[in-house]
Amino acid sequence: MNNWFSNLQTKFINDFIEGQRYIYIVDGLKITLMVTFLALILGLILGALVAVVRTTYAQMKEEQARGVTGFLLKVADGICSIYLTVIRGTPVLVQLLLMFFVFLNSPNISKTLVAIVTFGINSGAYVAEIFRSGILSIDQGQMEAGRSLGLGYLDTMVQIIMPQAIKNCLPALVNEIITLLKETSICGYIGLNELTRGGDIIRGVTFDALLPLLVVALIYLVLVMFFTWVMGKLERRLRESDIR
Amino acid sequence: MISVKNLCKSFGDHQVLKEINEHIKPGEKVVIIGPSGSGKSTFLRCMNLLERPTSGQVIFDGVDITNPKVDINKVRQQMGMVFQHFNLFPHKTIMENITLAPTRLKLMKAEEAKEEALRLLRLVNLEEKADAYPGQLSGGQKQRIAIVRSLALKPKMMLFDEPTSALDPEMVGEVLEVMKNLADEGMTMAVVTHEMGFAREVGTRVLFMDEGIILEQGTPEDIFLRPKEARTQEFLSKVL
Repeated sequence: MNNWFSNLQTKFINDFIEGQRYIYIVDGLKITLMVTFLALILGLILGALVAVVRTTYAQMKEEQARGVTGFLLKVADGICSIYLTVIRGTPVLVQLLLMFFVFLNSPNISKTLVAIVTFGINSGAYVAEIFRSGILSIDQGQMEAGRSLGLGYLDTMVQIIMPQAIKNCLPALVNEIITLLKETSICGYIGLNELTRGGDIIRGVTFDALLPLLVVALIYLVLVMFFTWVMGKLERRLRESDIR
Repeated sequence: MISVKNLCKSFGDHQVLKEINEHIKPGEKVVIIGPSGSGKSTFLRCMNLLERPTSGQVIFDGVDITNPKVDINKVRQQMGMVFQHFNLFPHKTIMENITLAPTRLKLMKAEEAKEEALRLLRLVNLEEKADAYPGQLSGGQKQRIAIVRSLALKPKMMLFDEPTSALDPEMVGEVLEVMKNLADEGMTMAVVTHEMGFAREVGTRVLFMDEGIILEQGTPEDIFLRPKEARTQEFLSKVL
């Protein structure tokens, strides 16, 4: 037992301390967090846009469909539905590779940017459906009340529908963010040195798989737990208006 | 104040309103009664274009608001609407519910809107609820707030769509009281309701609707004491 323990200690020093190899983990973590955060922002914006277009089109009354706006909305809805189908129908790894080797194939472009764009676009499709379910969960009377007070459609959407919709779909949104964080681990495929690849590089150098990968796994776990805790707090705060 | 000309509304193949012609003068309190499915709510909702008429015109203050060029949001600011299910914004406080529209529409400054909201809240005795959320209020209180929220825009006319139908019986009175006061102040009102007592007391004119048309209309005395149509008599015998 004692032997096993000192063995582990040696391995730990060899894996992380020697040659300052912990830097791989630290830098990887930075990249992972940055890609996740910026992709999330992009995903939320894209998702909100797509969700609003899709629900607006679906709720549009037949007599409004005839005008120019009706036509534009129909086109926008078509584009959105193609986007959802393609993104949700293909693996994110394939999307990442396509983006890196085909669509954004340029020597001047950073791998981090490719990852952010790919994951932002990918996440946007899922966020769109989450937002859409949130919007649909809000009683039609809320829109009518807003409109009857003279507020415009977009104003009512932003001021009244969206805040309630986001509150209702927060658990599903948290799920998506957790998935996004963990999915960025495939960025090693395009040679981006994020957290997982950081651990893997150490494994390649020291030939010890256990500790580096275990530490990587642990960091993901802690991040997810921390994030879940923060969102739980936020959710309780947003539910303040529900107290009776 | 508002004229409706040859108003028709269909949902799919189902024609809900059939060629309605009606004129409401300033200061009138028009009460619309009739069996469910007769089109009274749809008629009311066509007046502020929450439902777009299939054909016909709605002329408010001399402007045909069914014309797509008319800014309907501007028109709606002058036509308050109160719903059966209150439709307060649950994520906003009572104060925010009332001040949201006036400030967003830049009709009032934040301070001004707040003062006006407090003044209105005092009128309905709900001053102390300014910082509460709708979820903490009773049905009757919610509906009074909903009325106040519309009044904050200083409308020329108020539409009421079964304002007491979703209330517990003991709360109906407090809402009707507010509506009566409003009527006494000279507000032009169109009210869809099942409260025959209110119709009698406050209404200057009663419309009886059945199957998409205004079958009969007149003063409350005419309609309640001397109904001419068999359908009106039948309906009133059931509800009175």
